[in-house]
Amino acid sequence: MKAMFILWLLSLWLVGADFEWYGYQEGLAQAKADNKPILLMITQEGCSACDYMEDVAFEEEALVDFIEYNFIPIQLTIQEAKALGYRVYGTPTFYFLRSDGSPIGRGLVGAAPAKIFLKKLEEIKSGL
Amino acid sequence: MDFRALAIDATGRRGIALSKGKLSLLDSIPQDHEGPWLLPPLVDLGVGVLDGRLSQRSLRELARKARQGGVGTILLRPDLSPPLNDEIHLEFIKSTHVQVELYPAILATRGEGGLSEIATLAKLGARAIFVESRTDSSLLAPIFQYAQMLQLPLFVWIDGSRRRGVMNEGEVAFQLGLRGRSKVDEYGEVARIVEYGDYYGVPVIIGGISTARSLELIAQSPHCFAQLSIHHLLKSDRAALGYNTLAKLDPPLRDQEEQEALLEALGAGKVDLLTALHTPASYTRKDLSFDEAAYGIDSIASYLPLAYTKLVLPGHISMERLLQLASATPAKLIGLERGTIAPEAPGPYLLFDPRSLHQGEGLYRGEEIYGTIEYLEDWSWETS
Repeated sequence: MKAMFILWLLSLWLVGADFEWYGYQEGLAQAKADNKPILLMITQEGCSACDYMEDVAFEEEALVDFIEYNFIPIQLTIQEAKALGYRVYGTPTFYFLRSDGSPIGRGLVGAAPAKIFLKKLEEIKSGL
Repeated sequence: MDFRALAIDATGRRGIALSKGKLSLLDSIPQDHEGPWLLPPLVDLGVGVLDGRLSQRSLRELARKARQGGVGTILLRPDLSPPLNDEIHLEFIKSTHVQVELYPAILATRGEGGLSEIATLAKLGARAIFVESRTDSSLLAPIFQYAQMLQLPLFVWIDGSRRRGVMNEGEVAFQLGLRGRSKVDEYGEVARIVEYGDYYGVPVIIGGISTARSLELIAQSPHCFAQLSIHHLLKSDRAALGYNTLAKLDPPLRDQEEQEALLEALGAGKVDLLTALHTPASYTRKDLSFDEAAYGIDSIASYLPLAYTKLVLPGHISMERLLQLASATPAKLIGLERGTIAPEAPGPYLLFDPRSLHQGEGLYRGEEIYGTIEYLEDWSWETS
């Protein structure tokens, strides 16, 4: 019984797999050290599309794993993004950056289902 | 030329060495360093040419002066003669090779009151859409929609009733008997544009502002960026005493109290980007009565030394902050990565000697300015 309970807890932990969002400077340093591209997400309070990405899309295991192994995820509020000069055309805005912080293509604006977002990340990764 | 130097950029300070043409980052900052600093060049948005006349000659002259003042990248303002609102003139800018990076902004409107071919011009490499704040709402709304669709920033110039007043409305204007421009006209225009920016969720660079109240309004918006000229931080309308037309700027220099409030706002982080407000007018257009003289200032050739001497040396901001406001942020707003010194960052870099002293010119005649600029030539990063 105890073993089953532990298994159930473990399965919950696996299903709820997650990645850690980095702060800006910390994320840039990590990306440089790991030579990984950056997924930069700009959010704001009360943004339902941001909540969808956080609560639904970023709970999909395949997407979570892909981000965790291939990208350094950085999250900024719209105010933090403004102080750094990032252009925001609505939230969420996603920017994809090389490990040196330079942008890869144009940003993405709005939410996307996990499958579509994963495809975009795969395209970016394969284009590097 | 081999050296060990202090490299400063928007992200911090580090030691750097040049040996046999190879540049490498050091593990530590050189102590008691007295040599020149290695800096990334500045980026200035909304720069004008002599008398607003677009020609190869005026662009070359602009580039020469910009390089002299430590500016490596320019977004040209498009309200020139001829205006940058068609393919021919955009191609002309792109095909003109000068000593600095030159990018065009496009004028959103045409003379007859319609819109330019914004989408076509954007494809040809325009980096921003330029519009005056007093543009009719029937045009302004689609311009914001274009900016959103094309993911281009809008550069909105606040037109604070230039047609009615020639300087700040206040005691000095009264003494000189000149028509003044009210601050409240500016607040009203800024508030309107901030509402549009937030409604459409489009990044808006708001230029042509001269008051702390405008900075306050913009600071509350997550989408709008306040661009302030260094002259409005350094001078007040008293510079116009004696009918000094060198102090006739658009927007006008405000009173001393306002100047102090702007400096305070700068320290409080309410300015998002700085500019030299380079809008030179020839002697024949400046040497007239104050009423008739042209607006504008020839200032890009001293931008970095002036900003260093008047903003960094007195402690209003750090050198790193100056490079964020005058290089990294303006670059990012037009989709470029500048303002950092790193093996991945594109050069050129400049050597700034902060001890070298010279006399100011124009509006700053008779004032001591620190800093001379040389460019680092023939180098590459050391590869390990």
